[in-house]
Amino acid sequence: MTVRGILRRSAPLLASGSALALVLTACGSSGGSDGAEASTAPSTSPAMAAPSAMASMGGHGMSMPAASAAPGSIIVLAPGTLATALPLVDKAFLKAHPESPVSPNFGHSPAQVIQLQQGSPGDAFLAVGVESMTQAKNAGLLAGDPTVFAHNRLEIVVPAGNSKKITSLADLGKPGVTTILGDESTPVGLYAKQALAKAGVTVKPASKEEGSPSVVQRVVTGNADAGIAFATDLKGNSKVTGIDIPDAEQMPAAYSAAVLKGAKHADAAREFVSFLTTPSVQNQLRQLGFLIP
Amino acid sequence: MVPPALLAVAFLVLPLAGLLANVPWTDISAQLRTPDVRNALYLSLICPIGATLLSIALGVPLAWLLARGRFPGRGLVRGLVTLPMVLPPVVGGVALLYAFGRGGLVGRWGYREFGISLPYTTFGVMVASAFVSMPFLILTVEAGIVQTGVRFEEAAETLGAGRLMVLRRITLPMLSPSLMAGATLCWARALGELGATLTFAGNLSGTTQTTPLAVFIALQTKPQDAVVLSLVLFVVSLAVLLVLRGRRMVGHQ
Repeated sequence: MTVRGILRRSAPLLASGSALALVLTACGSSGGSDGAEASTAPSTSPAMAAPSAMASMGGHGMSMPAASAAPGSIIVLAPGTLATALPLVDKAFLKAHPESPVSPNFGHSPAQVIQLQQGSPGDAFLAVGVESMTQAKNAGLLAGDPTVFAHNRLEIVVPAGNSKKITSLADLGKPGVTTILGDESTPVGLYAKQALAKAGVTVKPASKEEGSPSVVQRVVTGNADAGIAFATDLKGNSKVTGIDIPDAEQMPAAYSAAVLKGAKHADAAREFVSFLTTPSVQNQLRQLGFLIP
Repeated sequence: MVPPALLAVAFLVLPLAGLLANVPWTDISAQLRTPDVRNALYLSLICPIGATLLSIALGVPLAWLLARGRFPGRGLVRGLVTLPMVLPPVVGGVALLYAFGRGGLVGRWGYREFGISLPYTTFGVMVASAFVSMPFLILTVEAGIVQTGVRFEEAAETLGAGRLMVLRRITLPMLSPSLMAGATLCWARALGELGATLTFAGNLSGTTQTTPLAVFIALQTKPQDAVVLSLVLFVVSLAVLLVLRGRRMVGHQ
């Protein structure tokens, strides 16, 4: 038999994306005699191996533009750190404005600016960090000035019990401490980098994660001794403890909101942005660990 | 038949054309020479090979047992070991953490007794890739073994060949096409691996950041870098297809 023969027989199943059928086939042959089902696959499709490699890329944490939002709903682009808070805000907003459901679309603020520049739809933009909002403003994406509605602080996240006795940023640079940071392409990584620079600490991270929740997750699963994450991402998690980073070493990350120039529901989006600074929402955010201006 | 077929071709080819249309051809050589990109390409060279070797070492014996063995629950075993093919890779990564991470079922013991920790290591990348790609090798090799049957081996034995002789002169040569095909599929799957690697091994240039991870991270803020790296993966995939095609032609004639 030849490579061609084998590929022709097995690859249509393997590479056609019908992996489920394949597993079912594999299971189904348990009672059979020789498990030769794989060889009965049609031999008409070309044997291509590499596309399966391409197909497996992507699909992790990337946010796609919310194209399938319900008609009339406000598309709100928001950072992942608001993933817990925003649904609560949306619910309250829907009560006051039953005609305008909110359809949130979470992702990294810098990435969302790029998506907007490339024509992704959106009514309101909620960003963490002044950099992304400034970038959006400079790119002419905003209708009006942004409103700051909350702040978030960085904390050192350690496992409950703090086995490595970490008390400050300086401890993160010590040998034997497995430290996780965010990648610099994400707000949490950018702010952590600035904080470490201010504190004059050099850290060799074991990994640069793609967001603050991922940093926390590394510590939660016991695979890291410490990390730097946003305070709201570890609040209420009993498996980790937050250690304060003094104000002198960090700048709180501002959360700002603005109506987008390309908004299809500009009025409702404006309502939503001003709703963020109402006392009830501010109170809700405070309970979730955000700092309120 | 023809219109949908043409649509299928357009559907599969257009995205690649879109990629090519966005390649910054003038800066490409400079971009390929940045340390991060070179690290990523190097890791994408060695990690899929490592994952494939790991898959061969463990997967071929299993494929053999699945094809020839007669034991209860064989179908169940086959179903279980092919599960990583349908599992979202991210879920696979989390599962790997709970098994081989520092706090995992096995990893806890390894870390405590020997200080061994797979996450954040290049070997961890190979393990994550092998987890998702080994089933491709197992199923392909198993199908190959089933198809070749035992006739030739039995004939050789009746003619007086010893077990070693049969293995060397009959079994291995007959296995090699399916092994080649299985290893290629396995390698290709490992080359594109993203989710399990990111979740289990982490993301650090020079240690765990393979090309797909670099593409994923670059997409957030530097789409141009992502396009250049994607182009490299595209060219490599194309080259592999062409090489395979050449081999198949040779085998066919």
